[in-house]
Amino acid sequence: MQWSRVAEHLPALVQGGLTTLALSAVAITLALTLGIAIGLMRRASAAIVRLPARAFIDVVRGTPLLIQLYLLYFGLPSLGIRFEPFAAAVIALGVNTAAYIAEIVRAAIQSVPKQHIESGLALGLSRFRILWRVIAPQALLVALPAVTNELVDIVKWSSVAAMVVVSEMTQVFYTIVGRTFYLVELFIVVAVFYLAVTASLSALLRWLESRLARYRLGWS
Amino acid sequence: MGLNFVPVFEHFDQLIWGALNTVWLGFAGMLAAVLMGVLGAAGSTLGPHWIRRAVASYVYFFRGTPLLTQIIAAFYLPSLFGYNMGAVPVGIICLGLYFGAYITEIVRAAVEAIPSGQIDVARAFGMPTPLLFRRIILPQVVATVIPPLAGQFTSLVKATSLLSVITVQELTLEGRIIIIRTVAPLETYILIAAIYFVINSFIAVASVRLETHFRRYM
Repeated sequence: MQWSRVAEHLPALVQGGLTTLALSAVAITLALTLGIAIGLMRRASAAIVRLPARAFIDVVRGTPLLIQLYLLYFGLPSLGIRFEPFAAAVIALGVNTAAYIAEIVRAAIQSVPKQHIESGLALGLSRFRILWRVIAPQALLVALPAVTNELVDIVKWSSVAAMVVVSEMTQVFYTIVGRTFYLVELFIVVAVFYLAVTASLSALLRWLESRLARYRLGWS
Repeated sequence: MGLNFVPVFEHFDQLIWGALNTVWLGFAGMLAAVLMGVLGAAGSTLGPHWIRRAVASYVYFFRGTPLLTQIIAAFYLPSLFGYNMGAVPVGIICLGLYFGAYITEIVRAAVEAIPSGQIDVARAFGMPTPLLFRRIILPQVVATVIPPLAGQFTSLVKATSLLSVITVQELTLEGRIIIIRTVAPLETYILIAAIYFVINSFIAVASVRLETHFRRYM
């Protein structure tokens, strides 16, 4: 083990780690927003809203993230649309995960008993109030464990951004490893970084889940 | 402007070849992953304490780090010890280890979901362990496991695209070569995305068929 040699690359590794965190954070925000919106669209009664959402979910989930990223970054310039590598990676990651989150949201909304919605309507609540006060708290609780998995996956799959030369953790690892001999030491550093980030993110979300568990009673 | 697929279609044979490679890498990777998953699940349900700990660390490590990083590390690892290994075996091993970690958890959950009463009853009737395993445990585990396994298979087929990074000749790498010749990246990637989509649709259909077939044991 040549830890001193790895230390020479510490600034690059720290920079890579920060880029991974930034990339994941922006992609998570995008994935949640887009995923919830498309999940709601999927429940719409109008086919013109529902079917595009369904097509989006099927196409995105049926194709690899790497190809989606290549399409954005290498393909779209043919139509005059250009992205910075970081932006392309954020969009690909966010859109990809949004499709998975949309399916989770749809299933979670479906799990709310119909009577709750009917009672809300009978009480004269507006549709928005029913969504916000009746459906959302219960659906959120159902969706959260699965959403947690997707958000943790974003951190791991942000590594694919290395393929359009975003200098995040895996890209830094890739460039250093290609021209040195202390692969094992470097890999340990990189693996510990990812393990730490994914473990803390899932711990944070599980804590949130336990805080929300009070909604499970149905009154509070 | 406007899409022109004609130059890409001239390389159609290459696309098909790449697609076939992706499919067989998918099958090989899935075979390795299911093997790892069954071994892992067996270890963590039947094994002694230290094996359980080992399986838990395996799952934790491989699920907690990115597949791409694992692939890159695994690609350079053999040469570090003066050993030469082709990109294809490295790729299949990586897919097997990564998805095996997920499948371990899936199979373990399916085994633990079997009501212990069933096993007690079978033992009370004097059913020998191999028969108990074959007649009581296996059919139920297989039926429970098929839908999540199909999901893993889809993810695995998509993940084979990452093997292009270590020069495995599959669909994504084939696409990169076609783009160099045609200079039509948009059209090429749209076609490649469509091919992946078709492959995954087959998996989805097959999964539903298999599930209805095995559900009769439940």
